[in-house]
Amino acid sequence: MSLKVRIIPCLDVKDGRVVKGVQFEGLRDAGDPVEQAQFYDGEGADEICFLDISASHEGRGTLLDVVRRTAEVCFTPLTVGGGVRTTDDFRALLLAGADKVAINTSAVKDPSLVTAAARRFGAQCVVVAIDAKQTGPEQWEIFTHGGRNPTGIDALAFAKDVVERGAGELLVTSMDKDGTKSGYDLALTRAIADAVSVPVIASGGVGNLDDLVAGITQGHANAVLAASIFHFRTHTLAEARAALAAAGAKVRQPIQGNLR
Amino acid sequence: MLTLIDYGSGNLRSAEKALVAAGAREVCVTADPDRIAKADHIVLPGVGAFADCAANLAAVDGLREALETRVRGEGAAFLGICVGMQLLADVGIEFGSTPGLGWIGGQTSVIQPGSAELKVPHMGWNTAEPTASAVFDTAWGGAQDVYFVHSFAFRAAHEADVAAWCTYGADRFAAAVQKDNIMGVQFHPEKSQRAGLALLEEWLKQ
Repeated sequence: MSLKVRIIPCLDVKDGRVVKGVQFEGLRDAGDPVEQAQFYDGEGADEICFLDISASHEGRGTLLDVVRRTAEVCFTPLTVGGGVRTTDDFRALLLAGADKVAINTSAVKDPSLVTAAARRFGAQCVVVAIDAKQTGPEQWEIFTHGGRNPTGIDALAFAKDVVERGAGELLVTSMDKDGTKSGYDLALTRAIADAVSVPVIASGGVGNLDDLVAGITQGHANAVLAASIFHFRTHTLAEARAALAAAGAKVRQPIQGNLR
Repeated sequence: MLTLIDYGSGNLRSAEKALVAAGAREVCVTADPDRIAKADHIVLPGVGAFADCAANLAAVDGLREALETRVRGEGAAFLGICVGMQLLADVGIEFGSTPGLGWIGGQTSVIQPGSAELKVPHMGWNTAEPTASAVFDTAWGGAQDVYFVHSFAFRAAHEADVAAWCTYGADRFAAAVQKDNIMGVQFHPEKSQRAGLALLEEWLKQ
């Protein structure tokens, strides 16, 4: 009888296909995103996230088609990010069937986009993706362009700023941890989660079920995102739910079979 | 025929696909008052701010009048989703005060869970606990977890109009309201997997 912790499988998509990178390099082609999303929908994912890492305009064009086809077969909330620059990009993704849109580089370049999108579509659909690297004790810097470009911007200050501007949720990814399977950067996640009034999704570095649990219990996140442990079927969503429930987190039990 | 109202404020595609999956034979996505005048089922989606949605609704010539006639006058089954549900209220209190349709007494106001750990927006799966609604009883037979994403909630003037409750920390608000042929759900049935589709399927039989 209360709000549940969310488990979010993430699919990195390039040119309409699913990939999974290590530190955002060395990508492996591994399938059709719609098929993967449908699989997670059936497993009872609480949300599904597509992050588009296509470099080209054509590559990104295929994403709209992927979102459209996903919305036809999945009745699960869908967050889509990657290459979003304008409120019109937001609109195109929302019309295609996305429920939330994540922005990263463009929120850093032009924070007024956060405000404009929140005004036009509501704060609930504006997710700001924060990619950060540790630069000192309890200090992290924002990186853009898939973790390649440093910005000199303090991650915690940026998080507070975008929430004030209208972000409805933050997706916090540690660039140090992403692809390492050594667990979330819990100090980063906690520092941001404790500082803002909106929900925070922990991301980057999950290697096992304990990492998911730690994201909630130690990172204070409201949702846990992972790619490869689900993608390569190391663990099922049911196993993730069981691990979180055993640690005292409130999880949803998706309905199997008919309701009555 | 079912009309899904396209007034620039909804996640139309998701709603349309879910209604079809729930058994709707013909979904007409439109704001045309002539089509609404013939609809047996009318769905009003809504995403974003109350004032924007209300302004968008008012901006379509004849839409409000067509809805009043078809839903309140002739009894067509009506379902408002998220802000589409909140618009049923007399007034929306959200960065100022905006009149709603006033079909179900009450107003909207910000969610107050009463603890810094409980974030707003209220985002994710929470339990909807039906009161004594035949649609919910038949569809679910009890409480179900469904997907919410909102910062404001419907405060019904009459408890009898609340068809399902949701509790978030110290706050308790309407997960659904219902008055005769008029129904509204704060959560997103189109995003609530089996529980959502089961509810839509049952509502379509009304």
